[in-house]
Amino acid sequence: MQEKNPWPTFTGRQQYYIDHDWFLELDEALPTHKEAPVLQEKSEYPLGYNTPHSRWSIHSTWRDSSKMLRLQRGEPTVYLNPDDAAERGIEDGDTVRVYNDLDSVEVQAKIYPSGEPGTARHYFSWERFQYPDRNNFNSLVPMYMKPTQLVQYPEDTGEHLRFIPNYWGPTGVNSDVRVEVELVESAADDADDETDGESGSVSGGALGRLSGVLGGDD
Amino acid sequence: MSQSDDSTVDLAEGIDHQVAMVMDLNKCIGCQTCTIACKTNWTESGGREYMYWNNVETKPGSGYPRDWEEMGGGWDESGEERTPGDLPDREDYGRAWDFNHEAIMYEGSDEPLRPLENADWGPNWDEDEGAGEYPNSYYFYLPRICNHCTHPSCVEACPRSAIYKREEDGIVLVDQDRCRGYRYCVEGCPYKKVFYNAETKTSEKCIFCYPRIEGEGPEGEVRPPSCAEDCPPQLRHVGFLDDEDGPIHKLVNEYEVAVRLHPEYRTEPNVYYIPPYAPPQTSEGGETLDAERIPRDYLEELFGPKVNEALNTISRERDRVRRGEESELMEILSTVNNDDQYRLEVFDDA
Repeated sequence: MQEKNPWPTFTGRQQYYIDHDWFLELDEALPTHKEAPVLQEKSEYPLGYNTPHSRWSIHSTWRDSSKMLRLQRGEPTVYLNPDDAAERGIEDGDTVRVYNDLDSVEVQAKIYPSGEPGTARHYFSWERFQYPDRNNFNSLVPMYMKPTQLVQYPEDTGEHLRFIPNYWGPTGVNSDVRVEVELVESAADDADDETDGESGSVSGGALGRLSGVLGGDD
Repeated sequence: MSQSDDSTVDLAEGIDHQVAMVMDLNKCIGCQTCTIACKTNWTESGGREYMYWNNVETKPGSGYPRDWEEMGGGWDESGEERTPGDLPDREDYGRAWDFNHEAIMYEGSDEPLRPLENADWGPNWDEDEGAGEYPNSYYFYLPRICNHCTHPSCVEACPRSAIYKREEDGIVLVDQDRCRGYRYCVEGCPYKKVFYNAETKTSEKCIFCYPRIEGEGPEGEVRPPSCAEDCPPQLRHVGFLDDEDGPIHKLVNEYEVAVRLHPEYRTEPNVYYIPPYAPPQTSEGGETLDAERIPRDYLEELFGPKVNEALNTISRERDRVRRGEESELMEILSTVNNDDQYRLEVFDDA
């Protein structure tokens, strides 16, 4: 109940069970664990990629605040475990490329001893204009659609379930993405020498464009 | 050292009362809201851009200004002779970078947003790095302001008596009319919390937001310093050290769980810290080990030997609460009532 009204569900209460034909057919009438799809092979993209919310902004608000950036590195960073960085000849402060089959983003490497080996952490919500290629942390994350996300139930009103972006619809599969990281420019080299933004941008195809459209400022 | 008339608390000579702060490091999330609150109030412009009267640094780490703990200052073992201190250079503080927002937002530039100058150090450059190896790496956040010390070496360092402890509440202030910008106070402060303003050619520092505690805060009310009031996890207690019914006196003098940062500098800070806890170390297989994650040596290096008894007391009181018993200490540390945290209207004369 909310403000003395029942919830807009079939039972008038919060409910997990959905007896729609498609849910029944896909064995998802109740919340169900299913194996994640393999998006990138570990042999090709060894690092698990995640994009956690940070404590320095609320979504992208204040992400480009000069006052806040002065308390960070002034530009987007990727946190790497020291061993993973050393294996790739990467040192703290270097400019690196984080990439997979979808896209490639250029950011500054920050060495993070508390990062689990084999992971790359790129905090969420940097603005597109903070990247040389105007892409962002989400450019490496696909959004897959599931049939159940297209269901409107009941069909006429959709009162129980209907497509609402960010509530019931496709979302990024943030935990299933893998990437590789490589050195672009060492911080020890002349840091005034601006890198051109052209380097090795991977054409994302339709999926890349989709993530380009949907994966913007969040 | 003298004692005020009706108090058993040591105060600096000639001081009626002493403001004090206790910061619980277990609550700090490193969000920098205190830093921004302070900066917005006091140090946004006019030669103060590089200054952080309040900063939050990751420990272990080199902090702000870089490697300030290696710069000397304070007093020798007798507590009578000052120890020589260094003047940090501009690069140690980091520069207040300007950015190319203008070009990107209004002039159609397709460059990425970047500092307009080479950015290779800043006040929080080594954030989150700490020490140790995964899965037993460790770090915590240390918020720092001027300690408004009872035995301030910055005050002693000034040949013009321009920097002084004010009588009513022991806040350390720089008289901007007397100061000639010699920077002896900057060298003399071992916490490096006095800053030189190259535009005004005077030194400046944290003023404990004295207009706020004097009743000129928002709504014309008495308010604690904005670093305290704006803190999302509300990790600070603010009040007077000699308010014997207040939480600060209890935490510092009765339970002795709030300890000074680098007591060996012998300036007798009036900002105190509840030392940080961390989960125990884990094995490769993820099992809990009987080993402390933050090395006790390191905590002793920061907070002196008293940190041991402080940690023991907190553990003991926490166990009491787990057993369902009452603990005044745990109630003070876990209060969510601002009236208990901020006690500034207790003395008529303050």
